[in-house]
Amino acid sequence: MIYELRQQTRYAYAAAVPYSSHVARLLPVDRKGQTVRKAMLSIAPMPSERRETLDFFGNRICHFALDRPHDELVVRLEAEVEVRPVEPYLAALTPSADEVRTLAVASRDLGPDSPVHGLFVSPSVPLDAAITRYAAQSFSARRSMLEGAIELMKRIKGDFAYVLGATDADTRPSDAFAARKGVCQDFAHVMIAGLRGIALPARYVSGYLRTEPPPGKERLEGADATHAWVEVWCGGEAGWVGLDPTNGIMAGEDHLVLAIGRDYSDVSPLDGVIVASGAHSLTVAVDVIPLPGPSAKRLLRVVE
Amino acid sequence: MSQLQPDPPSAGQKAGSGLLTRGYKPLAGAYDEMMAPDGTLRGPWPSFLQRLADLGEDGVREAFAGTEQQLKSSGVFFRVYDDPAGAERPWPLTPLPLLISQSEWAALSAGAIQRARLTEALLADVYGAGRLARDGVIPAAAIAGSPDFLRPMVGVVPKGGRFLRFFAVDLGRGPDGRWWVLSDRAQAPSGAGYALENRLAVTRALPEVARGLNVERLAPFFQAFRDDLGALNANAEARVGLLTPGRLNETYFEHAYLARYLGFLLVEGGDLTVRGDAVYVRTVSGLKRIDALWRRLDGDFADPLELRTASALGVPGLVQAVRSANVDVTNALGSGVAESRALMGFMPALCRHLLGEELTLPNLATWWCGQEAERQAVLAGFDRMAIASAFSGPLPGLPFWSKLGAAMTKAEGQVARDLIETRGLDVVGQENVGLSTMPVWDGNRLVPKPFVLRLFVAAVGDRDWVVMPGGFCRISGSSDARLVSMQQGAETADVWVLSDAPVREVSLLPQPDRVSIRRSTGTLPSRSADNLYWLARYLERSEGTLRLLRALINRLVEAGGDADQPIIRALTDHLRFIGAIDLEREGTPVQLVAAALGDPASPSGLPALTGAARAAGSAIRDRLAPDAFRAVTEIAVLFESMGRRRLTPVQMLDEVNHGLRRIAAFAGLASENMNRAMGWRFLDLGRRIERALTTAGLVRQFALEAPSTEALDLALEAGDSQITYRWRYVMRPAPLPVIDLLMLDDANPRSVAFQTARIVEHLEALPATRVDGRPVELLRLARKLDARLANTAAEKLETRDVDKIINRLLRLSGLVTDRFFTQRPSEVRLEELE
Repeated sequence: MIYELRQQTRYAYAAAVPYSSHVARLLPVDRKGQTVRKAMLSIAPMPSERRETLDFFGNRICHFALDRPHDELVVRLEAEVEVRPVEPYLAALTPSADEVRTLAVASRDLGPDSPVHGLFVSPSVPLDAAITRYAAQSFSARRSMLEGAIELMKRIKGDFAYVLGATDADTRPSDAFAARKGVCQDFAHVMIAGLRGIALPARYVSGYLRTEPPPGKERLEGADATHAWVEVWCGGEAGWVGLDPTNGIMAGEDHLVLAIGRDYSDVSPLDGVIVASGAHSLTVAVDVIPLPGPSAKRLLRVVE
Repeated sequence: MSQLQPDPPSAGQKAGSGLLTRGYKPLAGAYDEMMAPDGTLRGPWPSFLQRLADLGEDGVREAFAGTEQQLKSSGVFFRVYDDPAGAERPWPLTPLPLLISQSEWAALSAGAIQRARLTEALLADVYGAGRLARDGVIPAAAIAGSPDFLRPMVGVVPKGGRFLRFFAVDLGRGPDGRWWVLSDRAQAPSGAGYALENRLAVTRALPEVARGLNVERLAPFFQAFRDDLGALNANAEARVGLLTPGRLNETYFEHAYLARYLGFLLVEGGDLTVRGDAVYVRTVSGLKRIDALWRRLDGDFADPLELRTASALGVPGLVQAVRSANVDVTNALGSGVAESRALMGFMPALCRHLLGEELTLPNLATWWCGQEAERQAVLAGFDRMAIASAFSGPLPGLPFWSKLGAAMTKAEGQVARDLIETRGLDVVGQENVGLSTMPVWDGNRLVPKPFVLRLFVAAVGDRDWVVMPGGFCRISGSSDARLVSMQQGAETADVWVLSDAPVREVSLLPQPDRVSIRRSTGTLPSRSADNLYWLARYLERSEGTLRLLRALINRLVEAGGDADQPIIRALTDHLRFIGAIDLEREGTPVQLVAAALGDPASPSGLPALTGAARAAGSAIRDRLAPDAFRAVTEIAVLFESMGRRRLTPVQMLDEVNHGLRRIAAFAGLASENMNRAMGWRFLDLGRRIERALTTAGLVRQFALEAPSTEALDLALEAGDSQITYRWRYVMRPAPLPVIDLLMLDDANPRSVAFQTARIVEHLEALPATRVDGRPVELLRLARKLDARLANTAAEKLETRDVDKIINRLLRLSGLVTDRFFTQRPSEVRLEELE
């Protein structure tokens, strides 16, 4: 499946900003089951400095700065990404949660894909005793890691209401958990907090989800904005497996990965510090243009 | 035999013979530094105590009281975090130093250097090749779990090649006399500056004792560290920066003190900006490149773009500047990961693996509960162990961060055991070692108290290390090592390393053969200039207000209760106009004076003004002489408590005079002791502008609007020009001479014209008041104002002219702000995308 993606982010400032510096994590990279055919970030006005690098987790990040007074900033992503279906993994074949825990804690790998980075508290995901107890119910001693994780994901999908505006980017998982509602970021943070609470490795994925349902399927929640889901580590062989607690499904051909991190704070799409006195407003829009060709479809529509 | 054996007791030195040791008894089961269990005195103590005894009992008491006095007069403070008022406490110092003999020191310092080398090698691997984890020497999780493992720093090699340049290690001595490492400090260790202050205070109080004992000097250590960092900044325009979280930090005093002592530039995150991947400091002369920073804030706070995004303390883009090798940050960002307790159990193996040596200074036995066998051991030995966070910070879900198992409540114990079962990887168990004791003066006699000793190690050159011969000794009220914290009001002691040979005198004053003459004014950060300017303005405004209040009280006392005189009404109206009395406030004139003097709610009352002056002064301690800062503090303290006292008018008068004398003392200290560099110019500029505004206001109100004899008298009195007037005119006040004297007479140091002449002088001397040789608006306006005052006759001056002058002065102040201070605009973080 080939996706063409266009996302535009626009900041409008009430008073001209003399200087600003930013980090954008908006460019997809090649991953298992995903090939980036083309990806381009255009920035207006023209930045005085611009540099691209890969961060610790292998995400492509773009640093840029504007040193002339400007009253708006527009960042546009244009990308073409091919997503191939990943062979479904047999959940029952993954090691037990106890084994996964032992393997992860004893891991000798400090690299970006090591399970150790998914084991600990992170800036946006403090641990919470109530979430931990909730998650623990899905993991009995002998049950396989992925079976337990899928059950947990489905319980979250069943117990939580998807409510836009009930939470914001800084909402803590414990609050979303207590309210049993939120958006994809909250669903993902709650699931991560639960898994980490019982020392099982989990991490955060930001990306996009195809909007228009295939014939006969119901429309998926969370496709109106950039999406987020979870990866759980299921032992050395299966590695990280994507689970989408907002929709109660495994991440697959419908999920396009933008960036990976410990939680939202590692992957927030556009961060910046500006020198300014006035207020600012933010609009984000995603245009999707179908690609000509047999597999082309109108796949994404994201507006905020 | 290990080198770390304690000194043997010296034969024949019985404690009972000493004046100070009478009744001194070591605690059962603890090693005492001074006295062996049989009562004999150890190593260097007999000769030390003998020298003290030579002073006689009164002499000893006097000397001990002297240490306290020394510290008070040098203004050493630390801030108490949980105090709602953010109060600063005087530094608690016990007069007896901890003595360490040369032979014992040799082993301690070698051990401290070994740990520094080990920590450096560990950091280089963790942020570099990652072999230690891959080879199974340390578990990857013990690194990844640390909040101080900064992932953006992986793969970044520091510009100067070193991850660690300033390291400390906390030591305790167990009952068997062996020293143990309680913790490694690799983030941004504090205490070296306090150690320096302690040294000054103790050696000044006990000069004869110190001289005779060959006490190793501290200065060469700081000199080596300063030269090493200075070499990294060789090509930059600004000096080495000491990056502080700011004046609310508990150890801000130390940051300011060390910056002044080492000649570093004290900077906050907001003083710095990153352009083109290089770091610049915002100064009154524009942006100046800086290549070396000694950071005293935690690594994750250093860059809100790439590290802790909510940090308001850091410098956006600093990580990128480090990555581009354009700045060296000491210690490297992320160095705090080496403080993880989870790593402590692995240190002996790490030392063999990385250095091929045995660890000479062992650390407390530590079991990381991420491993099964260790977890079982901790659960089995729970009561005997201290249960603590596996990393450097507090533990999520635990109500404490380090506590002896046996000392826990039932509920705490349950929480801890549950956590060890479910998330053992967050927890360590540590052996509980009793600390040794040292003699501490309790005001009447010596008593043994447990202590922790911090040693400091600095990098020199590419490979070498140097240890500060001395240390920072913290004395605990409790005998639990982990509870010693300055936050809890522990005492400190100086640490003397006693050389067997005479010690060379060294101070940080430049050596004649290496000093280069510099008369340049150095670098003045915009923030410092801003605070100097406002410090002076607030104090000058306080002075003006106090003079008005004094005049009012004098008249109230004279009037003997008849408060309805026009001059008294005019005065209270003027005090309302300048904000010293709240517009809404009702009351008798005496009550109004009390409000101006003591009510913190009065917008420009004395508590508000002098409090603001102290806040400005605190932010620039590195630029003020300690005496000058103390004067500012005393003024603020005086008026802070005034509102709680019920004073008669005569008592108020005393306090007003008291306040005026203190302000005069500050002005004297500033004008006599401050180098005539840019900092002084901003201080004086603030004073001149404020004084011009005050005096012009007096003239307007009392000489132009309603010029009665009483009013003119008042204008002269409040304008501090009575004596000049009488001397010059020998007549009762008349409007024109008063207006001339206060507004136009450039020989009267209180006149507006005198102030504008000084303002022009300062602006001419400051950088950036000309563009392409042409004066900027600020300078043009000041000159115009000065010329106007020089060319006006008193009879031509009307109220609206004075109003115009006041408006121009206000505009001038705004232009000073624009020109010199607002290069430091507030930086805000953009709202995040959802």
